[in-house]
Amino acid sequence: MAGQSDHSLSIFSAAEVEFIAEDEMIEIVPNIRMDALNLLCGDFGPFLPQIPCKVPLWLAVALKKRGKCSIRTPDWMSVEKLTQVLEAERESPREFQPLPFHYVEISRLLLDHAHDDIPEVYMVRSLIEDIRNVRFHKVESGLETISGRTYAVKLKNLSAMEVNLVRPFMVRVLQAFDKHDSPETVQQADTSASKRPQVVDRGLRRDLRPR
Amino acid sequence: MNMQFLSLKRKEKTTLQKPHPLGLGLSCFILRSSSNFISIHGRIGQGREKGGKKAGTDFGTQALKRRGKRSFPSQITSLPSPNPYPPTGIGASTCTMPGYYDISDILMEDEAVSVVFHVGANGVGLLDPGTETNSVEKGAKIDLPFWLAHELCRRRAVSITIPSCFGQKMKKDVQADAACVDLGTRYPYFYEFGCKLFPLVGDKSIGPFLRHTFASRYKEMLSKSHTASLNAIPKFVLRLSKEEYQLFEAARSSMVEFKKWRVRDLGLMKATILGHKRKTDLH
Repeated sequence: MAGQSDHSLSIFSAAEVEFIAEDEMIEIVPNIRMDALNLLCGDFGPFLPQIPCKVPLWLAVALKKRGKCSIRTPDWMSVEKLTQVLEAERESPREFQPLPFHYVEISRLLLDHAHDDIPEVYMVRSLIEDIRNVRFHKVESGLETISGRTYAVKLKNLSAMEVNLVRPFMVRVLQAFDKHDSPETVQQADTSASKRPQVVDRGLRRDLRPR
Repeated sequence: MNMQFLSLKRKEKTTLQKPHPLGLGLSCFILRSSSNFISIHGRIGQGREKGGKKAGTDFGTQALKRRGKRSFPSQITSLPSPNPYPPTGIGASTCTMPGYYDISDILMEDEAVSVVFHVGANGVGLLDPGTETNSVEKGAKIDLPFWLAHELCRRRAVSITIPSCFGQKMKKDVQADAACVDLGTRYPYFYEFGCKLFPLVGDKSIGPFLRHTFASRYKEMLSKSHTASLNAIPKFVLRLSKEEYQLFEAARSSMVEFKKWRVRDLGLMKATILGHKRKTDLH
């Protein structure tokens, strides 16, 4: 993949994931008047004071830093929604709740630069921390169950930053298991009484969530 | 039969050469990769040594460059030349064709295995410390580095006996508790070595044994490597083999990086924020 900082490990650095996350659209309320911006990624309409409009996150943060707008929090970042998500996460030990793909990065950027625009910012921050911890804990306990039979690991609803965190480890673990496994499958085919089921029987993927 | 040695350029270690301390005029033949690993050394004419000094300890600090005039009668046999463009990336470290330039591969092949010669060999007496003539008898048991034993085994000149790290005692240890077996200090190249040894030796149980060891050790130790504490090295890290350690490092470094990214620009502010007590209302 082209954007990586380290090809041999096939990981993105955290800053690179954040860079990709900054393309998400977000709503702002400008407090200045400005002409339309014609950028490569799209045209963002003439900015009129107090008229909300959608811009990419990087533009929103840039305008906010110059004091030219105020950012409107996305819907999923309200305290009620986050509390709901947190409770649901705690209840289901193997599923992940649907959250925006880049929720970690977006929340971090907003909490850093626009903390006065967010109602109850401390609650929001601690809720997001909790959600992140619970999800990562689930990922970890799922990691323990990888065995030699795993062909692929499917993690549904995992966010970009979390995926980036476990990616190098998990890829290498699967490769290590594969290295130890594959020659022996061929060898074992010779022996008459084979206790392990052969390739056909193996499940196609090991889900970390109930099927 | 005359032993035919290739000039294995890959193994040329160009390091400093000091004159032999015993001054016997017979230099010694050392294969050495780094100070951590066992070096195979042989001496010619062991009985003629003056002074009871054990030269083995000296060799640990010296390394010898293999000079051209001392190379063995080299009739180059035909071996397929290794691939000059080895596949790079993680996929390179497979059992069949590991990276030719891979350092850890080279180091791993320096491990000693005990072999039994099927044929007599002339001119290579220094492989056998106990011999008087400059040759090795048929049926002699010698310790050779793995790369040498591997090549000779392919030519059916020797047969490799299973080293102790895959023997019964190890199997019992692993069965008792795989996570406690100290691979880091005793056999850091346990898995790679086993993978390489496996096709050469007729024992088919090594493969499943390796897999079982790896699976149980993974479950106990490596699955916790993400949240291993960042400052203090957990105790189990010392017991990991090189391969396992790489996995551990991968997890830990990505965790460290994520944490650094999180507190970027914030300094100490993060800690106080998280210290706020959160009132949960569930309705």
